[in-house]
Amino acid sequence: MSAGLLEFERVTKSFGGVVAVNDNSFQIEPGRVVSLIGPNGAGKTSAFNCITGAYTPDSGEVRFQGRKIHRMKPNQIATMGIARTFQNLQIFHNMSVLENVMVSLAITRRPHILASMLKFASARAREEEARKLAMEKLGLVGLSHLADHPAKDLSFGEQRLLEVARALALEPKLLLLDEPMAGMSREEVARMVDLIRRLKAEGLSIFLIEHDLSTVMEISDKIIVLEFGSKIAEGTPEEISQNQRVIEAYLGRDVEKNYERKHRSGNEEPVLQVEDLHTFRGGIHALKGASLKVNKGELAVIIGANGAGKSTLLGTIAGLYPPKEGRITFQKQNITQLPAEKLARQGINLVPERRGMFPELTVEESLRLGAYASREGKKRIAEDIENMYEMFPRLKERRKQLSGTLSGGEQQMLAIARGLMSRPDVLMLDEPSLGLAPMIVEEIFDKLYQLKKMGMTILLVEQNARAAMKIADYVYVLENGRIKLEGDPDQLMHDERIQLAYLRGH
Amino acid sequence: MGRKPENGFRKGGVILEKMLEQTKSKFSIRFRSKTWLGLLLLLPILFGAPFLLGSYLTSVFVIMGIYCITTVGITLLMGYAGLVSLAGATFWGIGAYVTGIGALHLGIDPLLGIPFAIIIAGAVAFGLGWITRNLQGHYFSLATLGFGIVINIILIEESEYTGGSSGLIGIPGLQLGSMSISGDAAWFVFVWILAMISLVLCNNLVNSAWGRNLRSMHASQAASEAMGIDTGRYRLQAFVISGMFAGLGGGLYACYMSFISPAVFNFDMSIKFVLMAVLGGLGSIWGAMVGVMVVTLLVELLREYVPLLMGPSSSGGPIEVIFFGLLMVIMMIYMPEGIIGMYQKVKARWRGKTA
Repeated sequence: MSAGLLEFERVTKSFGGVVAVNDNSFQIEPGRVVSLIGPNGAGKTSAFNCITGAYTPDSGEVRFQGRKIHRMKPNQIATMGIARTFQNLQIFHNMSVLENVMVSLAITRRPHILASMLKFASARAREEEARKLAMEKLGLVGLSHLADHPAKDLSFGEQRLLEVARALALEPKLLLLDEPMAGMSREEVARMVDLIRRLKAEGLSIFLIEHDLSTVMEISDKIIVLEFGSKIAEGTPEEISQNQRVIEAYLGRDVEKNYERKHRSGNEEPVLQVEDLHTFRGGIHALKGASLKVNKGELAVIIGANGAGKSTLLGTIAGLYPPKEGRITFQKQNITQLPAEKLARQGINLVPERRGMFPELTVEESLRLGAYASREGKKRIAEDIENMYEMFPRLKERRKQLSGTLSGGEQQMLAIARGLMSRPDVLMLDEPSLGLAPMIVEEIFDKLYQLKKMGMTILLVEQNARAAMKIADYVYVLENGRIKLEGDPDQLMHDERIQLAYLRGH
Repeated sequence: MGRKPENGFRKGGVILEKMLEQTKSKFSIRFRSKTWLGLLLLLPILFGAPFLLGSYLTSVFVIMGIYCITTVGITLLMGYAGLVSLAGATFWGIGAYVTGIGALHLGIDPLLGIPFAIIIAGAVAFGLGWITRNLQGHYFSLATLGFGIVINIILIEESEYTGGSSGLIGIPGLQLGSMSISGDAAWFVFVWILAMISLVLCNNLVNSAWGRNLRSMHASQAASEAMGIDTGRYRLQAFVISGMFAGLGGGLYACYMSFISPAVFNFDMSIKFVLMAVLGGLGSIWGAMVGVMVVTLLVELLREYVPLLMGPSSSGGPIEVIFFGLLMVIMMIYMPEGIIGMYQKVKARWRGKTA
């Protein structure tokens, strides 16, 4: 047996009855790009955490360069040469971009306290050296021009790149990337792919978790597939793409389900109307005169690239950000300046991006909390909860579980169910597909379609344009804070401008 | 961001720096930063101020200097490590009692006693920090609170050494060689030199690689560890340093007041230290100094005006509690980043407008 750089041998890790990693074995060969894929909740991040020392495996062994590391502390493992990035970004928001990178340099790891207090020449020389090394790493990912900016001011994609630069400053032998492309625009993904290729060319071994399958197939030497904590396949991209079991587990049966559309006649009275909305966020003119309307019982979708202003638009409607100009009308009432909590009572509910879970509450408690704004009696609320369980059977199974322990897809379902508990007239959703595997996305969109069928009015914001357009009745395309295009999804689907700018294949 | 504004101070620093460069200092400490120059310029103010302030205000300022040394440690701990200690006054008290007991029972000169107090306070902080190393957030704060109460009880009950609730009386003052520090003016100069040194040392520390690593832990412990930082070690170091500053403050307090009792080192005082740090601003070590000055002056004003407003029989005590409670609430709502944070924000906005 050839010795891998990292050997993961018969590792098991469980949490209160849920087996997150089930007797898994694999190895990572030096100089290779290995990808870990699988549907949401398959245990990918748990496997990562067993490598980095964030979790201690219940049984099994993890060896790095022949040394057992599964009982070591995360910082010890890091200094041995395993660097990582985080799925939910963990940049140091209280310092500059450059300082973020300087933290992980070996030469500044254990500074002498007295020398630091007295600013000895040696301490200052070392800081100079660190600055230089950190600048090099920023140059590698193309962020040198932002070195002195506060890290929290970077865009989402830039923060991901910063995490990579910070990890590289550890001078690792193995780089672990946890969904490095999630939530990134097309150009940013291309930039990340290019970076991964360059790093591989320099001899770095890379182990990554990723949902964007086309990218995974493109850059990986080897792919490992997990499902429900167990490894179900391992092989080259070609082998994996033809493996029947993987296709079923991961992609679902490829049904070209045809959803019924409700076409606009043009003379309906809109439930919600937005006219010429201007909103500023953190000094940035995020909305520059956006207008749209939503009719009763309709599923309207707003698509657009990262940073187009989608979340700001929903947030402004929901009363989270006060608009500078413009008018929002809801059921013939002007609601432009109403605060969020009033709007929630009037019947507009926003399911926020990243789901806004209350991790310490159980599923049932979260649902109960969702009914807070509802004026219904106890009995109706209990009925509503039962209805939610009927619609989302997975939630019923987990009714006593803390919502923080649910998988991403389950959390999204809970967020939708919680939003419905207030019996809203309009349900708004901000990127429900974020970070979810295609099969789960399909399941959630299916639920949204059913909700519409039951009479709910839905306004959905999505970056995953192709999936969203399948279920949409009407589509708005947002670009740079304005509605650039709108119309029937069947027509827009074939509009080249959209094809070019927004659609990403699986 | 990043670069500090050009000003006369800085230019002066550059000239001084060149002069020093020519003399080629043999020491490895180079007087380059403008803070050192600023301190040099402060010296005449330091010697002149007592004559302007009058003896009462001078004594208030001596106490401020002592508070300042202790609050520096609290700011380091809260603002940079993200740990809220409710035992600030306890370590301060340990410093005072070690110096006092050393002088009265063991015959140790306070000049030696104070360094000894710093070491003991640091050692106790190490012990407490080690025991509580796995406690996060409020749990850590509660542990320090409990520790403070225990120490306070020990100070009261172990009356053979501590003098019980009536405390220690007659702690000798400081004697620097042939020069004895007596009188408020001398104390003013001595204490504020030490306070300035503490501020500068701590400021250097938080702006060094060490401080950066500490801040990384505050931002994200998981990421900090994943970047190879031994967060437990940094946390313990910060706690020990904070304890040592409190020890120094306590030792000075004992010598200046010549009388100490457990009532001074109680929970209320710990809260007041936290208040000073928060009010001044946790984003900068200098916030400690600002907070101490504002809070102490407010206390003095209350003491002065409450009897005038509410009749001579009313004391400032209960009003003080209500006043500072309200102040804390207002601060948290309108300027959570403290006075220094507010100042920095206003300055940034002003610069943004003129640019």
